[in-house]
Amino acid sequence: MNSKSSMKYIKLVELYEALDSTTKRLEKTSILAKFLRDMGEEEPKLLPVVTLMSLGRIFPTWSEEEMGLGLKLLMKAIALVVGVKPEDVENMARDAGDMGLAAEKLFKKKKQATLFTMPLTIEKVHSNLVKIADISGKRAQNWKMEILRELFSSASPVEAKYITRTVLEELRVGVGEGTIRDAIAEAFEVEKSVVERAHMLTNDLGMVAEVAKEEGEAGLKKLTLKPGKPVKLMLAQLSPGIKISVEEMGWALCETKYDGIRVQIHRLGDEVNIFTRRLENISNAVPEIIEYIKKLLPASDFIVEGEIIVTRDGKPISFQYILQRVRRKYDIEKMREKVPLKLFLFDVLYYNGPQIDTPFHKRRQILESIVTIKKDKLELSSQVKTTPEDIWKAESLFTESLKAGHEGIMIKDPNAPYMPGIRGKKMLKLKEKPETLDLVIVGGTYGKGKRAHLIGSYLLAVRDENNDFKTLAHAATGMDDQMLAELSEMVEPLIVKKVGRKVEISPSIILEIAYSEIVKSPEYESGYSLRFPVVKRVRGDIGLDDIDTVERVESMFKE
Amino acid sequence: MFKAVLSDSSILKTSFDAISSIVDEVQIKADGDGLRLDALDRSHITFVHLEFKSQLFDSYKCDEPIKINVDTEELMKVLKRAKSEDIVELTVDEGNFILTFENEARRTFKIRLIDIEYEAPSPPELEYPTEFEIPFSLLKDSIQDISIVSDKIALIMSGDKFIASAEGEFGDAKIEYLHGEKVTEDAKSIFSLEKIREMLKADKFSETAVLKLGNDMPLNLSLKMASEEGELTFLLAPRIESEE
Repeated sequence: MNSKSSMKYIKLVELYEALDSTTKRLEKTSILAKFLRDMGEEEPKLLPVVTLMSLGRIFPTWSEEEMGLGLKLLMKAIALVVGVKPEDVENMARDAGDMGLAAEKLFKKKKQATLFTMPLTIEKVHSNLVKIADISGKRAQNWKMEILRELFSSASPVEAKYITRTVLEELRVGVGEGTIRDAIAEAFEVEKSVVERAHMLTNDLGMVAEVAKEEGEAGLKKLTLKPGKPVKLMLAQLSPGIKISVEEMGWALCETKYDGIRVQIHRLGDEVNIFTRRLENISNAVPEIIEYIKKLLPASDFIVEGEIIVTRDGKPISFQYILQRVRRKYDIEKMREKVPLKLFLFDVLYYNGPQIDTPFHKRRQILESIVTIKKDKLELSSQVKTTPEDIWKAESLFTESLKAGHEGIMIKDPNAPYMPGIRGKKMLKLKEKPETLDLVIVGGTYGKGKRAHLIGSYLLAVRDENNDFKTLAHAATGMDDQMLAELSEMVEPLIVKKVGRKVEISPSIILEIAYSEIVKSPEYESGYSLRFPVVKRVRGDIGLDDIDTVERVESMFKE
Repeated sequence: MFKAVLSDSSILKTSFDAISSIVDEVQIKADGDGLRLDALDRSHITFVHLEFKSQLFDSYKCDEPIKINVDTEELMKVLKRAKSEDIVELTVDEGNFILTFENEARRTFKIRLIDIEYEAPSPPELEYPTEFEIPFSLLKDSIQDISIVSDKIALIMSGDKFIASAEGEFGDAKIEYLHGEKVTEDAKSIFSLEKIREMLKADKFSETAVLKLGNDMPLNLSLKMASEEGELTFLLAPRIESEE
């Protein structure tokens, strides 16, 4: 904004009040649409600003700017301007249940007069709030408060209410990004889907509104992603099952689903930035990832996507450790040693220009061509190509992934574009059920050859209402060599009967079993079975009375 | 070229002691007649006007009008380092306000100039029904007295008496002073004690204060040097103590 606009802030406040007066989304949308249309005609320069401000925001979502003004200082600013004590503000906020309402009430009874009042303009409110975000360094908090006080000193009670809420970043008028998008579409007569796409790619509704007004649908379609500005991530739906999903897609690319933090990595010039799915910039917390990226990917602009995990001795360890790393603001170097990170890349959104409309299988090819793999530091996600004829490939990837301690698999449509912010059917996730079952070993099968002395597969059972054991599944995965040996040793004294390689085992040892789903099965005594059972651990801490029952399996199946 | 030399640092110190507690940044204007400053605090409650005539300085030179924009807290930090017997020299260069304190040693401080985007509005012209003088120390003591019972103060003109009073939750206080002026109208306004206390930090400026009072009107408090070579005036918006 170069030339000053004289549009009054009260105009925006009237919009807030109008939006607040209805709960109907369609009404909100048309109120907003009218406002944006009028604004576009009267004050086109303010359009991006008011679009964001009608969401209660000062900065677009991609921006890392924040006002960083604490609640205490906000209350102090109100107290000083109104002429009461900060405690009075606090009490009023508690009674009113909202700081904005408290401010409004206090301003109505304002005790401290002012020497001058100038009606607030939208531009003044906006520029002061931007200034608050800009201030840093020593005495920053006090200075921030002064800038806010300046606004409050000229504010009417209802203006004070919304300034307060804007500072707190909760406008409470029941308007979300979706409503704004619909309003932009309505105001400037463009397709909703085009507005939505433009928003997902730029994360800047202010700009989207401006482009919609100035250049219409054609202009919006030209908007695209830029390295440096995070894009909303494409999201996955739950897969109903590997076979169905692959059949629906025709063929699929399946990948290990890693249990870590999904990140979008941007390189622009020499700068590499890493954003989480909530668009937080975590670059400073993960210096080694930045190093790998700089070393193992070309020095050109790009956006790639991946998952950061923590491993110990090659196995992924708890997600908690990653949070420890990512939230860290000090001692980062020390934590690097203790909690080493590993990055699996699986998609590319920008390289030699935007690639989001490139089919996924081609994006993967691009990714493979630009990444130099370095084991245990930066790798590509394990991927298999699956057709309905060789579903087993995906199934074995699933069990392999679980065995390796990962979450499950992703099933991706190879022909799909990258759809930011969309949770569609082009990308599916299949996870190990979060529930596990505690089952008792009732039988087993010895291996062959080198493993002839070890039981490689266990027959597992649940309890029924009469405390009889009913078989449910065979489990053969999830055990490493050491566990196999230990289990065999524990089981041997319990063997009741041996026929060929098969043994009957007296129920005693309990295993915790993960699986992908429960299915009906006439092959097992319980009438059910588990798909992809994986042994998690031996449960020495519970007894036979504590294991799961047919009843529970039945009810879980029905869910 | 601008250069002003002052043999007494205390006048600058005491002025900015008050000013820096009211406003965070100021614009000091210098021209052939001297220095002046107008500032309004961000809450628009207190207005400050400071004026140093060129005759106040031991030597003063200003070829063309200049504007010196500074952060008052930074300026105050430097002024605190001045001893009363120091000779103070004020100059500017590209980007700095330069203060030199000279005594046994010559100490130079540079304060970065800042951008100020607003112009302080000129103070409202108000007609006051009353105007009187009061010893500064008495005013300051009265504020101390009041502060033990309340954070608000009522300033009242009633006949030949000037009254400062407050009613607190746990007690009341009242100070009466015979002002000796011919006053035809009574007046009463209530002010924030904290705001008055900020102004009264300029306690070395003058031994007497000139007060102008009205009914629910801003307080005009003016400190003038006997020589009339300097003036520091405050305008303070009242509190409106209507029924709760």
